[in-house]
Amino acid sequence: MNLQPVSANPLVAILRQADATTILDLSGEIDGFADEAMDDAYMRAAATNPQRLLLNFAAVDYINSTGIALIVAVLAKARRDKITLLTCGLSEHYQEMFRITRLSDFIPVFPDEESALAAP
Amino acid sequence: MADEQDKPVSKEVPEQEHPNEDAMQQAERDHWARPMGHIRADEVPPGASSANIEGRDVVNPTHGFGQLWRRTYRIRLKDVQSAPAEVMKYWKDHFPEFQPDENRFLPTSDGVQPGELVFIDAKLINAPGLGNLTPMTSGVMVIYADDESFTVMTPEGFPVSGFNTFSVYEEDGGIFAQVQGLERATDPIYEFGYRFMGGETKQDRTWTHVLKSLAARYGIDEDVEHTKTCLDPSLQWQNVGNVWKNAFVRTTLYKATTPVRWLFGGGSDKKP
Amino acid sequence: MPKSNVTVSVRKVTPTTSVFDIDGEVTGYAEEVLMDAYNRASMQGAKNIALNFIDLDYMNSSGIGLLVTLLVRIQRQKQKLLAFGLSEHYKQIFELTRLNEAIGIYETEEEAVRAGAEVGTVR
Repeated sequence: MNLQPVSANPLVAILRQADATTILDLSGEIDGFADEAMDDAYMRAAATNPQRLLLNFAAVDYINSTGIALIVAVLAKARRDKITLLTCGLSEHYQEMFRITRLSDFIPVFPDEESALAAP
Repeated sequence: MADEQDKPVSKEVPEQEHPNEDAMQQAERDHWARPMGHIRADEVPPGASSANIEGRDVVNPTHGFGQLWRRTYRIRLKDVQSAPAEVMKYWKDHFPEFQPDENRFLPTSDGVQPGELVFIDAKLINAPGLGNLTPMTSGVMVIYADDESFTVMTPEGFPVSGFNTFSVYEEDGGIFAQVQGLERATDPIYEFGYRFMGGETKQDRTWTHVLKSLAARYGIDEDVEHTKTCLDPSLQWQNVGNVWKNAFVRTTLYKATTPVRWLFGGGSDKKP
Repeated sequence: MPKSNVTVSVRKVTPTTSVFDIDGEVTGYAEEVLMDAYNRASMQGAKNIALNFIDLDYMNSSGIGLLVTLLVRIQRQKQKLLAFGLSEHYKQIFELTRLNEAIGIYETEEEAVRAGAEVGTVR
């Protein structure tokens, strides 16, 4: 019997390609339950050898402080692998969260995919 | 030192072994600050701000998030004839002069005394390529001071949680001036900044600058040795919520500066 | 400044609790002695370590740093750290540095040992 608690709204990450940018369409919740899914998503994305990795948060319902830490961990790996990390699709609330925590100092925040892909 | 009683001094035990016990114990007690609960900034020196210290608690490494490191920087004061206590007194009396511009210390008029605050006006790394460093105003509390050392402790919201001890001591026939920190980064953002965005290098530069500046007063130009020990590589996930506590500090800074950030519509003030 | 000026004796008082009788000064120089005692106690199967401060002569801030280091090792091994026999002055130091939040402070050895036997966290 599996006694581990599971998320009611687990993080799912779907990989897409747009020229030299690999895109991860994220959905669900980014919290303590999401660490394996985030790890796995990054590994799959990194395997495509992108110059840039765009995290699309449009379908993400919830990010808590542990989620912030998981995103920071992705940032650390991207930096190690010399991949530029970008984000798009964050709601106003989560953009504010990125600003307040100054995560946005380290990861560019774009309103949508189009503007993210258009950035030099 | 007059004894109240006329005690015969034993020949086996040197005179120093029979000091006035109460006076000595009181002196030792006075090395330590009293517990103060929430920090109160009674005096704010010019150029300092108490916004990020007033009402906060001090925090030790158990309150931090990142890996626990002990970092020691020291310099040999070769051929210096002064006793460690003399050097430490000089350091305490002049220490703002040895701090680099990006990590300025602003003591109160009482200086380095247990219970006093030392305000800090610093610049933190945000990200390379953005040009400016983020200003940070905060402070630390002197929790301990004796003739040869003093220790400061960080408040909530500070980039690291823990202690920093400044000391001067004799070893192997020479005198060393040392800075030793025992700390964890307070939240994932600071941990990341430290490990990946040059925060560590900046810290090395700061303490190297301080020790070399102190040594230069004695006409000494030596290298600073540094050793780092990771005492606990695990992250303290129970404290990940610090990212919100620190948000207030960051928000205050955020409002006070005009950070370069990518705005809606493609980033009109984005640097190339 | 004198070098290590402390002895730490390890006493196994229950199958899972060891008491460290500290005699002397807890400063940075006490590290080896203290960690040695910890290794011995752990090898003896201690789940709870109770620091006896009755014969503590002096503790400076490096001594507090040392307790933090000990605490970290203890927490990583899912053991518990307790303390007793602190004078009023040293109780205040534990309060000042907030170590009293992570290290259970008790008046007597009996209370500390009893607390160690209880299931759950110290706080």
